[in-house]
Order: sequence, then C-alpha cells, then structure tokens
Amino acid sequence: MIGKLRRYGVGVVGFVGLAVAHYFGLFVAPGEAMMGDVGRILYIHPQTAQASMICFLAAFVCAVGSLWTGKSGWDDAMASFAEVGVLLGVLLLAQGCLWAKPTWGVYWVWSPRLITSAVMVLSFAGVLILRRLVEDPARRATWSAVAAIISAADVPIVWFSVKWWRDQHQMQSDVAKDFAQTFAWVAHTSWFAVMLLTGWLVWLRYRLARVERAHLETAADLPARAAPLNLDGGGEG
Amino acid sequence: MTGIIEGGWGFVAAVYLLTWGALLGYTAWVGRRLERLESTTEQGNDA
Amino acid sequence: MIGFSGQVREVFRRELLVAWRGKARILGIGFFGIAVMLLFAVGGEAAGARLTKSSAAYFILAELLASTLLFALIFRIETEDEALEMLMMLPISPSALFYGKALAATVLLGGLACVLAPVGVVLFGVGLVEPAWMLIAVCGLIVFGLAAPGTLYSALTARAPAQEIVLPLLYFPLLLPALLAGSRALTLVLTGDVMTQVPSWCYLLACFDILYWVVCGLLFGRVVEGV
Repeated sequence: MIGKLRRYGVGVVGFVGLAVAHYFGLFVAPGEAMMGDVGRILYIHPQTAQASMICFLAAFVCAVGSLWTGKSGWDDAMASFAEVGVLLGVLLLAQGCLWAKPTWGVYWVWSPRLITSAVMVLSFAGVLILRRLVEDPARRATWSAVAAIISAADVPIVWFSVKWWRDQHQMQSDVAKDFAQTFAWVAHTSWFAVMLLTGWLVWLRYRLARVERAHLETAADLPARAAPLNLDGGGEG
Repeated sequence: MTGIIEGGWGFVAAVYLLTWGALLGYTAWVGRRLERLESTTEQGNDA
Repeated sequence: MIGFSGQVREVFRRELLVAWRGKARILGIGFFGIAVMLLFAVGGEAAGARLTKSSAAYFILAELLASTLLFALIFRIETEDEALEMLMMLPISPSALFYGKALAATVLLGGLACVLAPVGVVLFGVGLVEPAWMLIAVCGLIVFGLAAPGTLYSALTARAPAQEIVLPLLYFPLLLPALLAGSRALTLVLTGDVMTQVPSWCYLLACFDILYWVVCGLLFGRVVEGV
C-alpha cells in the first residue's frame, strides 16, 4: 500500500489539481471575451503545448547524453520523454483541430505552430517505431538517439520556413496570442498540474523502461538457470 | 472576426474528454505493465 | 594514406561505379519517378492552370518518393556479402564514407531530376519564365537537401527490419522545409518571380542543406558502428 502511494501519490495530486482547475475553467469562469465558451480551451491547450515541447527538448538532451556516455539510463530517459512527448503532441494537435473548427470553421490552419508540432510528433513517432523494430539494445540506443537528434535539429528550420512562407502569404495571425485570460489563476493552476503530471508520467515510464531492461537482462541468463526438463515425472523443483 | 463565437460547447467538451481520457488511459497502461513486470520479477526471485 | 578529400573522392567514384554496374535498379527508380508524375497528373487536376501551378510540388514529390527507393538501396546492397564490414575495416574515416555516398546520391538524384523535368514539361504544360540557371540552382539545392538525411537514414535502417516502412517514416517529416522552400522557389521560377522572392527561398534551402550535411556527417560514425 505504501509502495503504491509512493508510486502514484504525485500522479494523484496532479490529477486532482487538474480536475480542480478544469472544474473552475469549465463551469465557473465566464466565457472568454472574444471567443466565448470556445476560449475555455485556454485552460488546457497552451499547457499541453508547453509540456510537449519540454518533453521533446528533454528527449533531445537525453539523446545527446546517450550518445556521449553510452549509459542505458540516458537511453531509457530519452525513450520516456519521447513517448510522453508524442502522447502530448498528438493531444495538442487534436485539441487544436477541435478548437479551430468553431473558431475558423476549419479543422486545420497553415500556421507555423501547427505544422511544426505535426512534424515534431511525426518525427518522434518515427523514432519510437524504430525503437520497437530494433532488438539489439546497443544499436537501438545509438540509432534512436541519432534519429532524435536529427528530428530535434529539424524543428527550428521547419518553424522558420513555415513562418517565412506564411508571412509572404499574409495569413491570419495565431489567435492564441490575442486572448485576454480572464481567469488567470485557473490557467496557472492547470499549468502546474500539467507539468507535475508530465514529469510524473515520464518518471513512471522511465521506471517501466528500467524494469523492462532488468527483466531482459535476467531473461538472457535464463538458459543457464532453467531446470532441466524431466519427462519421466517427479522432476525437480 | 467580429462578435463572440457562439456555441462551441460540444467542441470544448470533446477537448477535455479527449485529454482526460488520454492521460488516464496512458497512466493505466504504463502502471499495469509496470505492476505485471515487477510481479513477474518477484516470482522469479522467489522461485 | 590518402587525405580526407581523397577518401571522399574514392568513395564517390566507387558509388558511381556500383550504380553503373547496377544500372537496372537505377533505371527502375527512374521509371518509378515517371510513373509517380503520371499519377499526380491524373490524380490532380486533369488540365489547366491549377495543374501548372502544382507542377513544381508534384515534381519535387516524385523526386522525393523515388529518392526513398534509392536510399533503401544505397546501404542495403552493402549488407550483401558483408561488403560494409569490409569497407569499415579500410582506413577510411566514417565521415569520408558518408560524404562520398551522399555526393554520389546527389549526382544520382540530379540525374533523376534531369529525367523528370522534361516529363513534367510534357505532362503539366509548364514553361520557364525565369532564366535556366535559376532552375538548375533551385533543383540543385533541393537535391542536395534530400541527399544528406537520406544517406544517413539509409545506413541507419539498412539492417533494421521493415526498412521500407521505417526509412520513409523517419525521412519524410524532415523534408518539409525542403519541400516547402523548393516548391515555392520552383513555382516562381516557372511562373515568374515578380517580387524577387526566389533568393530568399534559396537562402532557406541553403541553410537547411548546410545544417543537414554537417549534422549528418557528424552522426554518421555512430550509426555505422552499430551496423
């Protein structure tokens, strides 16, 4: 019981904090000045965006660490950040599409943010799939670190190229910048809760990765420890 | 864009449900795998 | 022992020789590119101004799709008969191996572009408004941009299972800047650059190319260690 509390306690705090923030954001706070009820996305969307960006940045740092030191901890950390980052990135894109429909009448707009997010999510999803397909742990660590570094290096170029293109086409500006946050404390509470949850989810996933690795290393020893098969009955053990 | 955007509650609800579902689902998935692996490791150690 | 540039030159020559000996495969990739252009012409607008406007993007997409076949080939043929292991035992720097192969890939993709361009003129009914050197410069930058990440991922996925899935999955998202900048620049070259925007798109393409040629060259050694 104590073990479960230690493991899930932080997560419970995060979820409760998020629930409180969202309750106030959805049912107590008035609609946003320009966007009405659709503006309630402010209590979840920017937070998701920042959390996913932090995860991808951290995955890049861990990838460099993995290549530099060759230690498995960096590799497992990179995989954890990448996986949580992809989860949050997919959520971010879905949230954005669902927000855009009532706001602009379309699910997708060609803004630098959206395109950069989509490219990041796809790139890191590719890294995760690569990890699934390569069995040798050393190769998996090296190759996925290389792919993660290259994916991260692509991000600023994607941002600038889309911004350049968009500026030349004089597209509509990102509406997110024009909001006035009427219930700022709700947004801030939501931010803390999302960051706490993100950190906790990464930690949980990292724990899983370490246990999986230990499990595989133990399994590699199994043939020497396995009891011999005795088909005559009354065998060992 | 002039005036307040009307409606949109359905979309907002969808956003929140999707987010909560994903976060809770991922937590459950990772937690369950971790519990299962740790119990397998413990059984192996006990044997 | 020959210097770095000499190593690059020797690898480059070897790659072109291997490509020449495997002409059938290279020809097959060329025909694949033409088939893709035809599909775009049929699947897009059947005729008219819209097809012409999209022709630059279709051309680059055909080049991109054909390049994935080329990159799947570049290192996979090395895994036959342990050719890569023998290559790594030679006193060649991994970076020289990378740059030699990437340069050879650039030449092959450039050759492919030379085949696809007249096909595009015929199918999409495009002409050239800006000078021809601008067309060559833009195509050169695009092809240069495809070669570096493609060569790196070719090495990385050569022994990975489901290479035909993993290679495009890793490679395609990276190429959005090249696709965006390249298709804009190429469209302006074909339809007229009234506001002199081509140089700024070329500048972006050049930044993309330099970044990838440097980063991929640095990381290549770690990739082939594990192959």
